[in-house]
Amino acid sequence: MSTDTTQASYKILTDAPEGTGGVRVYRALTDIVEAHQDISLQFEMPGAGPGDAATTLEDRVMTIRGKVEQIGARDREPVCAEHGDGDFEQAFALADDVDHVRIGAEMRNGVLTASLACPP
Amino acid sequence: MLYPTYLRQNDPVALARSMLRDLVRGCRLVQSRAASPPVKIWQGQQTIAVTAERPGTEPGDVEIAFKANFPTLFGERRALQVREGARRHRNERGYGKFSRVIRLTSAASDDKGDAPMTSWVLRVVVARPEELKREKIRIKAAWQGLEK
Repeated sequence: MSTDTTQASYKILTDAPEGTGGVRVYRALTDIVEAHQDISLQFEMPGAGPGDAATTLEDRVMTIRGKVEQIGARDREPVCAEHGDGDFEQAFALADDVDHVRIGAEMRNGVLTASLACPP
Repeated sequence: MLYPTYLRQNDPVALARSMLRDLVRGCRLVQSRAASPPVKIWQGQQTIAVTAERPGTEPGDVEIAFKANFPTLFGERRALQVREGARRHRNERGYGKFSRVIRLTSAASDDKGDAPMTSWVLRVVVARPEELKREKIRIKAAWQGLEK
C-alpha cells in the first residue's frame, strides 16, 4: 500500500440528545487548518446536500448541523450495513479574535467548508 | 476505563481478555476506513444496490469495475491543499487511494448498472440474473382441495 494515505477515524455518535425524529446524530469528522489570518474547518457529512447544512453562532460557540436524507431504496431491503445512518453535528468554541461577521460556509461533495477570518 | 468482567471474580483472566479484546477492536477500526469505504448492500426483486460513503470525492475520481459477482470500487480522495506555513489543528478525515471489492452471493450483470452519486454517497446498481430472482409461490390451503 502506498504511504501516501492517511487513515480516517470512524463515525462516532455525539453526546447530543437524539432528535425528535428518532434519527441518530453523529459527530462530523473534522480537519482544521490555520493559515495566516484565516482558519478553515472542513466537516465531513456524507449524504447531506448543499441545502441541508446549517451553521449557527451563539455565545462564541459555532455549531454546524447537517441533515441527511435517508436513502430509501424503493423496493430494496438492506441486507448488509457497515455504517450507521444519521445526521451530523459538531460544535467549537471560537477565540475572541475571530471576526464574527465574516464566517463563510460552503458545501461541496458532502464536505462542509467553513472559513473564519481572524484579523491581526 | 471500567472493565465490567473484572468485577466478576470467578474468571482469573477476565481482565486480560477484556483488555485484549479492546486492543483488537481498536486496531480494526483504525485500519478499515480510508482503505475500504464502508458499504451498504440492498437487495430487491430485480436488482442489488450497493451504496458507499465517499465524502470529499469528486465524481470523476471514482470508478467501478465488474467481474462476475465482484463489483469493485476504485477511487481517490485528494488531500487538502495546504498553503506554506499553515498549521493543522485537527486531522480526522482520511485521504488517499482506496479500492473495495464487494462479494455478492450471486453473479451480477452490470447491463442495468448505473452509478449516480447523491450528495456524495456513491451508488451502484446491478441487475440480478434471471434464474436467481425470487419467485413468489401461492400456497393453496389444503382444505380447498378436500372440498372438491
